[in-house]
Amino acid sequence: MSITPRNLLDLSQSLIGTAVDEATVRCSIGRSYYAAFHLAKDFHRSLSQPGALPDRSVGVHETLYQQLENPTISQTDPKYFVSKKVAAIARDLKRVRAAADYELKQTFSKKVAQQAIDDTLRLKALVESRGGQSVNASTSASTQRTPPQ
Amino acid sequence: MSTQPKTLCSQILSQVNARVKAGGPYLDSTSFEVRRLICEAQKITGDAYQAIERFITLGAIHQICGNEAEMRHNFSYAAKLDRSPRTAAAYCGALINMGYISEAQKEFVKAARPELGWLTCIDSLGFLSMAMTPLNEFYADAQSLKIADLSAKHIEDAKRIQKILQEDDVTDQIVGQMLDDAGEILRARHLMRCAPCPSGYQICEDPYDDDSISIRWLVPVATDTASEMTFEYVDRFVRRFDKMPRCIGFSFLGTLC
Repeated sequence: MSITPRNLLDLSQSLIGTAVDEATVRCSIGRSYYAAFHLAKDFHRSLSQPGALPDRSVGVHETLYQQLENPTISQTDPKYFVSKKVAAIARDLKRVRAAADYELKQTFSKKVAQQAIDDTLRLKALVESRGGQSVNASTSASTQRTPPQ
Repeated sequence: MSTQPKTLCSQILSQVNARVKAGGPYLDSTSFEVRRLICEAQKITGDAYQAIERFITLGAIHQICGNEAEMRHNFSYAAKLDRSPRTAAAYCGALINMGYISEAQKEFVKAARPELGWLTCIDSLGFLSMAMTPLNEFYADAQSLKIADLSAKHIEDAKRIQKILQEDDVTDQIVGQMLDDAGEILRARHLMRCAPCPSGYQICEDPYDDDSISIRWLVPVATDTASEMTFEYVDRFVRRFDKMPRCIGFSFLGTLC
C-alpha cells in the first residue's frame, strides 16, 4: 500500500483538528513539510530535464531545492518559474519544520501548523495546475542523480 | 514619588502605537478616531521643540491610515527642524511599519550611531530593517567606547545573521529589496502587520544543512489569506533575483484562524 502527499496533509489537518498539545502541533508541522517535500520532488521529476546540481555537497532536501531553483529548462517554459517558486516555498517550510523538530524551547501555536497546511495546499495547487503530475515518470527528470548524503 | 505627567505627544503616540501593535486594516482617515487624534495633535503648539513633536505625531497618525504622502510630508518637516536621532528613529519606525524597508535602513544609520546615545533604545529597528552591517559596526563602536548597555543576545544574533548573509553573498540591500516587496503586498491590501513578538527574525539551525534566517511577518488575517500573500511574495522574489538568496526566507503568518 502506498500513500500520497495528500494523505500526509490530511494527517496534518486531523492532528490539529481538536484541542491539542504543542507536541501534536509540532508533529503536524513535520507532516505538512514532508507533504511539501514530496510534492516538490514529484514536480522536479516531471520536468523534461533535471535542474543543475549544487556545486558542493549539501543535504538531500537542499539538493532538491537547489535543483529546483536552478532549472535547466527554457525560461519560456511555464514550469521554469514554477520550479523556482516550489524551491522557495518548500525551503521556507523546511525552516519551520526544523524549528518545530529541534527548537524545543520555542512555542508553536496551532496557527503555525495551520499556516504550514495552507501553504502546502497552495503548493499542491501550484504544481498540479502546471501539469506537475502529468508527465510520465519514466520519461522525466529523475532526482536519482542527486548524490547520496 | 509623583509620576511625571505624559506630554500630549506621548499620549497620542501611545494610542497610535497600540494600533500599530495590533496590526490590521489601515484606519479610515475620515473616521472619528483619526479626526480626533489629528485634532489633538494640532493642539501641540508652542516653541520649536513642540513643532517637532507635532510633526512627528501627525506623521505617525497618517502612517496608521496608510497615507504615505502625509506621513512623509510631516516627517520631512520634523527632520528640517530637528537633526537629533529622535526624528530619524521615529521616521525609521514609520517606514518599517509601512513596509519601506530599504529606506528604513538608511534612516536607521542616521539615528543609531552610538555616539548619539540612542543605540540601546532603537537597535531593534536595525533588526526589523535588517540593517545588519551598520548594526554590527555600531555594536562594535559602542563596545569599544563603553557607552551603551547592550543586550548580549542582540550582539550575538547580529553577528550570526551577518555571517550567514555574507556566506551566501547576500547584502543588506538585497534583504531590503526582499522586504520592500513584502511591504508592497501589505500596502496593496491596506494592511498593517502586527508588531513582531518577540522578534521579527529567527536564526534557523538545521543539523543537516547550513544555518539560515527566517523572517515572518504576522498579519491579522486568516492563514489562507496569509498563504496567498506569501505566494504573491514568492512570485516577486523568483522574478527579482536571478540568483535567489538561499540563506534567508520570508513569509507571512496569519494570526486569525
